[in-house]
Amino acid sequence: MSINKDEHKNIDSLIEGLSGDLQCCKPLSCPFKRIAPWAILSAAYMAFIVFFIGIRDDLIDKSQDVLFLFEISLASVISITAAIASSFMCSPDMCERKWIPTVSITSAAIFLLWTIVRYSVEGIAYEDIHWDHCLEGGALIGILPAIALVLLIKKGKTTAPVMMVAMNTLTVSGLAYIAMRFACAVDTVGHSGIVQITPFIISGLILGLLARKLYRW
Amino acid sequence: MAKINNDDDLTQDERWRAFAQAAQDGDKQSYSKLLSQIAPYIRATISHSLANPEWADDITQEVLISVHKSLNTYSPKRPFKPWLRALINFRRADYLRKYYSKKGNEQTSLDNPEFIKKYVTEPSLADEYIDVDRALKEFTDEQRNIFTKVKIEGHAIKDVAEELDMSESAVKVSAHRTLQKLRGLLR
Repeated sequence: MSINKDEHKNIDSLIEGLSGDLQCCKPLSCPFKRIAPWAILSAAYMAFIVFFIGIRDDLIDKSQDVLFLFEISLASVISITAAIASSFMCSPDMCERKWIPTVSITSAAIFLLWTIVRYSVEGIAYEDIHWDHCLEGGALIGILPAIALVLLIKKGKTTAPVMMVAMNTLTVSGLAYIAMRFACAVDTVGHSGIVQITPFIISGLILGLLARKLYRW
Repeated sequence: MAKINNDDDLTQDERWRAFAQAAQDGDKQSYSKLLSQIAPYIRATISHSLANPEWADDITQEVLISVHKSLNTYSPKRPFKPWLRALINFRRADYLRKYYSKKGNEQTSLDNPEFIKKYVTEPSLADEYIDVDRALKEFTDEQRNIFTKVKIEGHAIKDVAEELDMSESAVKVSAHRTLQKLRGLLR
C-alpha cells in the first residue's frame, strides 16, 4: 500500500492503511554507537591520506608548539561535537538534547575569534593565499567522509535539515583542517585560517541551500 | 505487551510508549490503537495555531504518515510525546511554508469574503482591513492602484513601475506617501 495521504479520504482510512503497511523495525541505536564506526573509519582514512600526501617535515617541532596544539585540539572538538550532534539530530526530537549543536557552534565561534586575534597580531599573509596544493588535499580528505556521513544521516529522520547540514559541514571541515595542518607546513592566517577552510564553508553554504531537498523524508 | 493490557494504570505517554514499542515489533493492532489515539491529540495541538481550521486535517494526516516513516527513530527508553511533538512542529511548519510560498496566495482582494476566511489570521481584525479598503477611496486612482499593488498585493516595485510606465523611485514615493496619509485617516 502507498502511504500517500491523497489516496485516503479521511484519517480513519489512512490509519487503516498505515497499520496494514506496518513492518517490524529496529530502533536506531544510541547516537554515540551510531557515529563511532564513522569516526574511527574517517580518522583512519584521514591518517592514510596524510601519509599519502606527505607529513610536514617540521611536525616533531610543531608538536611542542602550544598554539599549534591549541588549534588542532579546537578543530578536533569542533569536528567531534558536530559529528555527535549530527547523530543526535537523526531523531526528530534530537533525543531530547536540543542543546547539543550549540557546543560545536560555540567551539566554531571560538575558532573564528582565535583566527581574528591571530590576524590582528600576525597579519593575513596575502602571499600565502593560493590554492596550489591544499585544495586538492582538502577535497581528497573531505569528500569520502562527507558522502559516508550523509548516507549514515539519511537513515535517520531529521526535523532540522539546515542545522544538520551545518553540523555535517563543521564535522568534515574540522577533519580536513586537522589533516591539512599535519600535511601542510604553511601555518599563516592566510593559508591555514582561510585557504584550508573557505572551500568547506562555500560547500556548506551551497549544501545549506539544498538542505531540505538533501534530507527530505 | 502485558503493560498494554492493563492500560488503565498507565499515563497517556506510557501507554503510547508501550504501543510504539509493540508497533516496532510488528504488532499491527497496537499500532492502529496508537495512531487512533494520537490523531485527536495532533489535531488539538495544531488547530489553535492555524488560520484555517480545514488545514488541521491535512497536517494531522501528514504527521501520521511521518510517524509511520520515522517509527524506527523512536527509542522506547524515552518519552513518546516530545518525539511526537517534534514531528508535529516540523510538519506544521513544512505545510505552512509550502502553502504560503505558492504565488497565488499572495494575490488577494479585500472585497473577497474568501480572503477573510482563508488569509486573515485573526478574524476579529477583518473590519480593520475593510476600513483600510474604504479609506483608500479617498485617494486618486493612481495612488490607490500603486498602494494596492505594492503594499497589499506585494508586487515588486520594479514590476509596478514597468506596468505603470513610471520610475521606480516615483512608485516608492507614491506608495510611501499614501501609507502616511492612510495612517492619518485611520487614526
